[in-house]
Amino acid sequence: MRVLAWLPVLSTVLLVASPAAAQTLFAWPDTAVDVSKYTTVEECHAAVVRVIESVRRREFFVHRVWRDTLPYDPAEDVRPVPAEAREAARSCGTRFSDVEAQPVSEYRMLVPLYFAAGWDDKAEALMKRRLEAAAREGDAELAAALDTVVYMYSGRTGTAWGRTSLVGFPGLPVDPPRLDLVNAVVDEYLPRISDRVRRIRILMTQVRLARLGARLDTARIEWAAPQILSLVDSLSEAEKAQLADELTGFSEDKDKLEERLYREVYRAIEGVNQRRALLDSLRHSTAAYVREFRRQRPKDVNVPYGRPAPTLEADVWLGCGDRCEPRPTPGRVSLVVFFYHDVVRELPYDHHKCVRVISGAEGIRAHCPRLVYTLRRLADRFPELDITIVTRTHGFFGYLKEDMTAEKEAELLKRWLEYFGVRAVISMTETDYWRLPNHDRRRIDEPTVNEVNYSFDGPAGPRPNGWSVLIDEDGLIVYDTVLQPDSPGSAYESDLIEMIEALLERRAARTT
Amino acid sequence: MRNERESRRARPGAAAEGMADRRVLSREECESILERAHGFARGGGETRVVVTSWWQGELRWGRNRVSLSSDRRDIVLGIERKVVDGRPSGTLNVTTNQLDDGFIEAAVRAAERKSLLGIDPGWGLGDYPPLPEYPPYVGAPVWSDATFNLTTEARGEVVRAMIAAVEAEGLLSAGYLEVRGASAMSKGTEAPELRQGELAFWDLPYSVWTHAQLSITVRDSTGGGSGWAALASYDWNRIDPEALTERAIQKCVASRNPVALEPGRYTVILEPQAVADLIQPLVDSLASREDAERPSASPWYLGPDEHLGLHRSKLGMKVVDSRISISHDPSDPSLGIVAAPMETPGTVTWIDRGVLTNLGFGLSTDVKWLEGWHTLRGPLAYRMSGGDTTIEEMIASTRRGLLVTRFSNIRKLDDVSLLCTGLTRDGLWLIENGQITKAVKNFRFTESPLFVLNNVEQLGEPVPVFRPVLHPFLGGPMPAMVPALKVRDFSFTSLVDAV
Repeated sequence: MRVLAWLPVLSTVLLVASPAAAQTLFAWPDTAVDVSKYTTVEECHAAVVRVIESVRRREFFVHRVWRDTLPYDPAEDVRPVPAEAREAARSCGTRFSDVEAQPVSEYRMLVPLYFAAGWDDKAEALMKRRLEAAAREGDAELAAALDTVVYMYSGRTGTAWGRTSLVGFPGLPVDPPRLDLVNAVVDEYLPRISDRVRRIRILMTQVRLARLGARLDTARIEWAAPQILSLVDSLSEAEKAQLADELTGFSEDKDKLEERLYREVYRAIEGVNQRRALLDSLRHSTAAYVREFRRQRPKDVNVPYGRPAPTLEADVWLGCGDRCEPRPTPGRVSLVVFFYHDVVRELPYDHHKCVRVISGAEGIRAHCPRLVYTLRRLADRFPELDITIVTRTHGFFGYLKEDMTAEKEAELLKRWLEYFGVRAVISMTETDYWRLPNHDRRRIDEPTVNEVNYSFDGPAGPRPNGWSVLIDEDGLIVYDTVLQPDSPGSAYESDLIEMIEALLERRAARTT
Repeated sequence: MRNERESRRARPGAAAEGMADRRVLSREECESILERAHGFARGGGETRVVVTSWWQGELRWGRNRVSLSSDRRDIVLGIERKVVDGRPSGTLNVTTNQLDDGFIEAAVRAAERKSLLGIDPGWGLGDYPPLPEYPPYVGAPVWSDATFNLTTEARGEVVRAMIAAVEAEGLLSAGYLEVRGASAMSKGTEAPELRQGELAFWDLPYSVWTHAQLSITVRDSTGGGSGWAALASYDWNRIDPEALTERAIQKCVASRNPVALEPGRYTVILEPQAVADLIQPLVDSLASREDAERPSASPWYLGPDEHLGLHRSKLGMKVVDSRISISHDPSDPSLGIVAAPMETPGTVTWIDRGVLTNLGFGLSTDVKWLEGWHTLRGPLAYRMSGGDTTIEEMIASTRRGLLVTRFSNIRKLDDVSLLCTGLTRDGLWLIENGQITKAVKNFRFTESPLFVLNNVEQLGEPVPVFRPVLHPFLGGPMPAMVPALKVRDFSFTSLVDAV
């Protein structure tokens, strides 16, 4: 206490004793960002990524259009770096701009930065230095370096804006991808690798790159495939054994290595042709389409394509006035979508949740937007497509449970879907259920009649949420897919669109 | 409706009287702060404001001398903003304890800047029916004027008397006395189109609570004996410092000159505090039905049911001795808790006569699977059923066993079996032929509360125990009533050279 009593006196003494000239008035520090002061290439990567993200954020706030609500645009994949990001890369990368002075070991970080700055010549020069240095160190080093360079030029490295890194590189990717440079380095350096197994693996990478995402680079496959096949044919037994060890897992039959290699290559080539053949046959007739499908995939014996679509049953119909049955409507191209506003069974896997039970402020938003936006895009694009949402009662909607009826659930679901622009016929079936006894008390739902009818030869029960069945104007099943709410790609949607277009063209041709 | 809900929850008479010196915020002050903060949120979007005020008085002593005495209070105003199409800023990411308009507005602007850092346009709310009303539980005893009015001087006097009693015996003591008081309220604007009243069912109406705890450890000057006693309650009047001191002194004196016994399986008499310490991992595991119904290390997960296509828990199965129930009645004067919004009102029984009958669950579990639309709390507070055997009778009926005061340093070794390890502390005695014969050196035990509760021979009367933990979300007290137990085949695995 005696010490405390002295404190005011002590502080007064100190204040008086301090020379006023030594005082420094507080001033706000300069917080403006100057990326040119950054000293490491990692900082430059981070700065450019931040600029790109902020530009895209600003674009959203200006245009107010969420990309997921737009049709998939392949041009997005090759969109150049925004001008602001390019300027940031140049400003930050100035101290690294003398490419000859940079250590070649830094190429993995410097090359994406050079590309972002628009200094393609510097990037290529550094890459060439890296490959030449690797070539001097031997076959294995060159093969490894070439492999990395291919991935980098293909834009498959880096973790910015959600793009997955295939080889675990952090930071900025080469964006947009420089596929022409991939061809150039492979043409120049691949022949210099004497290890034929490694050459095959690099060429296989080419095939895989050509099939990634929604794009299919047929020219690249056609360029790589003959080289792979000729190399495989020329392998010695020892080389085959080595390739088998490297490519196959413990569980795989190593004797089927060649089959697997051929399959992978041919599948890439044939994928395009098979797709075209299917669509051509579908334009002709569903029977021809099914024949072609069976020829291409003879093992898929349980796929119900070509079978008559079961007539839907419902306890409550909404959105179809007095012309609800029979459905699928004869003479119209139909899409039957099994949609649940929440499913209760969780084995063997968790179905994608859609309309969640809202249990707090954080859960107030819906959770299956891609699914409903996909439905909306299909409905907008094909007004003549007859979309039916097949669903069942759960006894609740959102948080609402009291006095719930099938009619009320159907009405709430219809209003919820319409909010997102999805206008479709609702087929609501009352769910029979029972409860587990003895303190568990969980509700166990029985399969509905529609789920049984549409299970075909599989087990009856809830279908995957968003499972959709495309049906032609004769009521025959043509295609089925799950509109995955979490799928980042739009390949399934483009598949579906092509098939709907083919069916509608065929129908139009018939009517005229 | 809102006023009625809040007034019943907060016991306004007692609260208003106790808040005269502004140690915690009154309802009017909370409402005013929330209103001002919401008023600064302009330009649309969503706003959530949480205001909490707390007061804490504490006194700590060691070797019979006070080492710390404090009286602290603070306010936490948490603000979350989600500007239109921006990300939520996070309620606790922007906080202030300055309540001038300028500071509150600055906090709101800071939350808006945080929200603008990311894009989250939302997927659209969709069309939902209006939010339902969730009448909260009313009448839980959680406020005590005696606790709130225990001043610094009064705390000093309490501890002075305790130390004097210890010194009179020539012993040393250490301890901790703490009293707390708090109030909280939250209000958000999410989904205005769905709201019926001012507060959504997840908003926290104005709530107040108090909490008191006192613990004392008594050692002899040679370090050869140690005694301990403690109690926690929302009400300071329920804590008797003199009795606690007397008990700690008795245990210290009686635990001098311990002898070493061989580790092994012993019949043990666990005092209520030892039971509470030991079963805490089991009590914690009763909080999540969701864990028990998916592949997990929950002790209550049974396995997959391929026929039904779901995972089964042990609900409905006998899991412990049929004399044991674990339940909670929030109107029990000894077991009041601050009820969270949406909770199932009334009594909850997790274990009923040995059968697992309930596990805590969230709202979506109830809405989707079960018959209601509430959350079910886990044993934040609980009463473990007992019998009518006194500890003296347990000792008298024991041919050879050990009397355990309490456990410490308990660590879980296996989630599924709840196998735990820990130490006996502050008094362990050998019982031979119905009498305590000598003090015993401490043991390390390796045992599961599930095994213990299946090896029960006798049960005592449930009494309040020292459980100073606070509600994980709201900070309110979490009391427990636990009996003494006589248990066979308790596994001690090594000697511990500590008092």
